[in-house]
Amino acid sequence: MREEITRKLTDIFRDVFDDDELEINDEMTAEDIDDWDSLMHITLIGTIEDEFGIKFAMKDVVGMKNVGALIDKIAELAQ
Amino acid sequence: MLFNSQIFIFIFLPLTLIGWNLLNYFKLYRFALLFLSGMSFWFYGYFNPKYLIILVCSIAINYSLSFLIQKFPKFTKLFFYTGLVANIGVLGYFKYFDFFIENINAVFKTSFALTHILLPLGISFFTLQQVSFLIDRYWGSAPHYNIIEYTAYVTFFPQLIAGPIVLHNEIIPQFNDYSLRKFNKELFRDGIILFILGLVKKVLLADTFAYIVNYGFDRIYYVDTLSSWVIALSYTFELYFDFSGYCDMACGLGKLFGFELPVNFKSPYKSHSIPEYWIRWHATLTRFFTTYIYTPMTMKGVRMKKKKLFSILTPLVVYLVSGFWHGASWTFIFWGLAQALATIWSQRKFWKIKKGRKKFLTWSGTFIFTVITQAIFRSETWSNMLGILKGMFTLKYNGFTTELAMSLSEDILIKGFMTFLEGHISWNTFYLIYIGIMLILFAIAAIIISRKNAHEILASQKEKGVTLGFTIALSVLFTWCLVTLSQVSTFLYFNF
Repeated sequence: MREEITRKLTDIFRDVFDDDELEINDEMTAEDIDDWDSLMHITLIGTIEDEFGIKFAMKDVVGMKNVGALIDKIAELAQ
Repeated sequence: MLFNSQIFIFIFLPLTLIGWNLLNYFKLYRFALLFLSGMSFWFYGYFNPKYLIILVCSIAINYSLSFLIQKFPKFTKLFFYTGLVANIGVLGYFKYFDFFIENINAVFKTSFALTHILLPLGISFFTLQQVSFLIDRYWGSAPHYNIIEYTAYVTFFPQLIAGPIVLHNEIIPQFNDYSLRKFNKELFRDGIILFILGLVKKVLLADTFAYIVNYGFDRIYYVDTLSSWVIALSYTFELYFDFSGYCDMACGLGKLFGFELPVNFKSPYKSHSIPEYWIRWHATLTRFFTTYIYTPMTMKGVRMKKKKLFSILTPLVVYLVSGFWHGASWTFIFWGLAQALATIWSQRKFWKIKKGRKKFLTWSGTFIFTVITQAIFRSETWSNMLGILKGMFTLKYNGFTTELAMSLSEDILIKGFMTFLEGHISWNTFYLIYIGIMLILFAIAAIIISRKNAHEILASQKEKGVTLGFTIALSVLFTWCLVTLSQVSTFLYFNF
């Protein structure tokens, strides 16, 4: 399940950041990608919500620690 | 109380540090936190004890609401909105009531009397801080804390009067980490270094530029092109050294007690765009607006599939709120609008370029925009604003710049130096030397701003080991600050 999410998430990241080579990992944060500012973050979350058919709570949108936490949250909501 | 005062440096701080370390040495950790809050109340109430009532009430109301949310979670929404209205209402009353009356009078030709309510110190900050906690309670990302840690969180004196806007989850865990209570020599030394660097920026730089700025704005109708840009640039330097110096002192003070406070300034004048400027300037305020207004509002826009519309609407709301928060005058709202428009325009790719020749264009464009909008920010009245802008954008020369340079005679050391020279030189040379001093001041400021900031200086000193040269330089500068500070006390004394 987590692997499936990671694969789908990688595609989303590649699409949002317009980078076909982009790889993600659990420890990754906004600091690791140059273009990942607050607007990009919201675009990313919005795309994830559409693709996975979920809705994040606002505290999770602002308080996302890293990509690993994001994957966990998606797994939780997609149940 | 002010950080840059003798009573703070020689009485309050030593007493608080001694008490804090003694109590922690005897493992009375909670009592130590209570003591810290008590001293912070003294710090706050020093100039006007009546304002303590407002601070205490603010804490009481917000803490009670947090308790009610805990006890009756079904009514969280009700308690949250009550708290929001109460906080913003109180802030609105103290800060904007007279502004509201003024405008009613202007529009309806009435003559309601102004109340001239004095703004309680720091109310904008501790209100915003508690609003962030309240919103986090509403979102479920904050627990209900005990009264001692909550009070310490709001009142911790390094950040009480003018920030940084500390989040509950970055300070309260530190309060409860008792390993931090053990006296740490290195952190203490770091705190002293940062505090002195901040003090130097405030007392030796900001307050010196302030002479030029205040002199200029008090005589705004005399400015010509050159002098108005000199005033504007002086304010650019004054504001940065004042606020970032204060924040350096706040962080330094935090370290003296074993705590890390968030950094508020990251060399903002090196920015290549306005959005970048706001990440580097007053970072915790930007963080507040981004977390609690920008993100929720833009998220709503994205979900409603109206991203484009919200990419314009959201910056407008955020910066108008910011303008309003900074002060009760149309100039602040105009200033906010300027920031919003610049931010919206900065979404274009051009402003994201940081390499090559365009780098200079984006840097200079950002810097010049900053100088102009900061002049608007300082104006405080519409007529001052028109005065300085007219001066900056119409061509005229009347030699007012020389007079501006001579306002530096307010500084005790410069005055002393010039008095010594006075009998021995011609008037022309006298004026030229003042202009020379002013140019040197600008040069020093420009050099400092282009290099490492206080935090970076501290980091590099720690990396190579604090050098003797650095220690001596810092001690000399600190002594210079003390001499300058005693001048301020004398001045105030004469005013009574």
